[in-house]
Amino acid sequence: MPTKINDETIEKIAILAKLKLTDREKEQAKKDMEKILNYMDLLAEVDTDDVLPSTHAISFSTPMREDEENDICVTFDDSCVAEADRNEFFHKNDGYNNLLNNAPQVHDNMFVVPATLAERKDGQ
Amino acid sequence: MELSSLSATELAKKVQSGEVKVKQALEEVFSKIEEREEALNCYITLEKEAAFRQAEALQEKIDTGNFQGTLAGVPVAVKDNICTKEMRTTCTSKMLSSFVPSYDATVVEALKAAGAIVIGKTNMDEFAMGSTTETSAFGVTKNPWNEAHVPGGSSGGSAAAVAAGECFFALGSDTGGSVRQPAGFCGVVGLKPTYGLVSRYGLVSYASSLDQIGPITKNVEDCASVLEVLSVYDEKDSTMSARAVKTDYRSALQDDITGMKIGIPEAFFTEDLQPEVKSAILDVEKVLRGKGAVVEKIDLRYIRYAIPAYYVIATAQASSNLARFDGVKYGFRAEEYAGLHDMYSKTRAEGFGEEVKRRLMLGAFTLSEDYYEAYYKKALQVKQLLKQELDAVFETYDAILSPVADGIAPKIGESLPDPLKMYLGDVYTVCANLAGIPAISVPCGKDKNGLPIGVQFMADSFREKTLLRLAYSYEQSKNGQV
Repeated sequence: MPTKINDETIEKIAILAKLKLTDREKEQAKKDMEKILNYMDLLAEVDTDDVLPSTHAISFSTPMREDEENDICVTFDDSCVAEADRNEFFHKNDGYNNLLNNAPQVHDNMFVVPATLAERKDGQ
Repeated sequence: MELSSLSATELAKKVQSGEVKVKQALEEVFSKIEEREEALNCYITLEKEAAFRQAEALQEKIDTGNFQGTLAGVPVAVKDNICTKEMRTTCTSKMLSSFVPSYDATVVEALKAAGAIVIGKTNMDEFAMGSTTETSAFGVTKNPWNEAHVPGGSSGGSAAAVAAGECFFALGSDTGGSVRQPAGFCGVVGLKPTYGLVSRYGLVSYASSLDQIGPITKNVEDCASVLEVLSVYDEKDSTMSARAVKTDYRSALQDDITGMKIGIPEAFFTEDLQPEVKSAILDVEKVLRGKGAVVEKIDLRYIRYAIPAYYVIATAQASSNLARFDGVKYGFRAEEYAGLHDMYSKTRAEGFGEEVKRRLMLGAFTLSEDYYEAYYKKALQVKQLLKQELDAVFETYDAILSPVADGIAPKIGESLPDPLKMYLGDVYTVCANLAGIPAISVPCGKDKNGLPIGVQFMADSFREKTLLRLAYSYEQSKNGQV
């Protein structure tokens, strides 16, 4: 089997998996992945022409329900757009507050993320 | 009366009749926890006060005749990847070390409705990725039979807690054997139900086409009792089968397997199988024959490809499922970063452990444009072939008999240095996940050092009753000798 995992592949995989790896981790990953993938290459032995890929082992059709409001989803309606209303909405809906409590950074009942529209310098 | 000797089913009956108070049941498990937990590390979170508060409320309802439940007052432990309202759910990852769900998983709601008291959350491999519970960010769990050994994994904390009497039963999750293998290593019973029989709403996803929640119990009767509570249709899980309807699984507990046809795959008896395990499995075969079952060798040619197919599918789906951990919505975020992408990749690099990162990278690779056909699509095709092969077996046979693992529980520290070798150890259990069929692990002996050995039975989809009857019948013949 030819080597699949070189430095370039590891860089690409790290971008796809969104993982910032140290040099030591990259070296280790190269070795481990090569070994594991070589084993996975056993699959190539199997003749799979005309075999449909299995998604779920048990066949079922997607269950449908009426498109109506229920206690599973809470409607965030137009009246909540104003900040004061929004705060009142969150106050009334404990579930939302509990969700936000898990976030590392929150402002005005919203998740805080780094700027997403800044000019990219990293080429990603 | 020694409470610890009772099964969950027996305890619930005594609580319901008033012979035992809910508080006494809790005191029993917390005294075991006091005694052993420091050494074993089965639990990530214990909620003693909340448990006693619930016990008091439940007792009042029972005393006034306002409660009926098959698990009344039974203390249960829940694997830490199953959401529990207001109880921390970490997946034993730094990424979720402070995550507190705002809702109960459907299975947890069902347990509570049946009267069970959730006392805490159990240790596991990080995001259920591992076979030893050693990839936990919260330290390893030790095997209650010998603390130098692992309890197996990934549901190692759940299996060890049941074996040590630190709860009366537990929930685990099984993607490639994570309920059955630790149950086997700890000498308790573990069931992976048919795909679609038990709701996964509130289970933190690992590999969605393989994941199932299952009970870990002291005996087969408890397994049937808990399955009755768990297998109820839930519209919040769109992969549930319409065949998940209220079923009296305990009616299957009959000591009669006369004429049952059981296949033993020759492909499982390789040189990797340790002699003591092999002879224990062959002893099971003798017992089953003695009870009137017909046991025959069967040929399964795709078993050889089960491990590579499993690890391609599992890691690919994991890399997609774990994309949600981005440092925005739950728990952990790296302290220093330059911009959005740097925040993502630093958060994930610092938040995930080594084995999780390895699997995410493998998944990202096998799903990438150049390799998708050769790995992911190929693995799904092989999965289909394996499924067809097993379907054909179940046209003739009621069940398949096999080991749960190739040996007894490994020593702590022995498994992680060679990930591929650890993956290969899952060969006996992954077939049931790939084919979506039910499988149960039952204790069948001990090795010369007293560590438990488990036997596995598999049956066709939705044939849990066949599986339970076979397991129960086998268990009866041993008369608690294990």
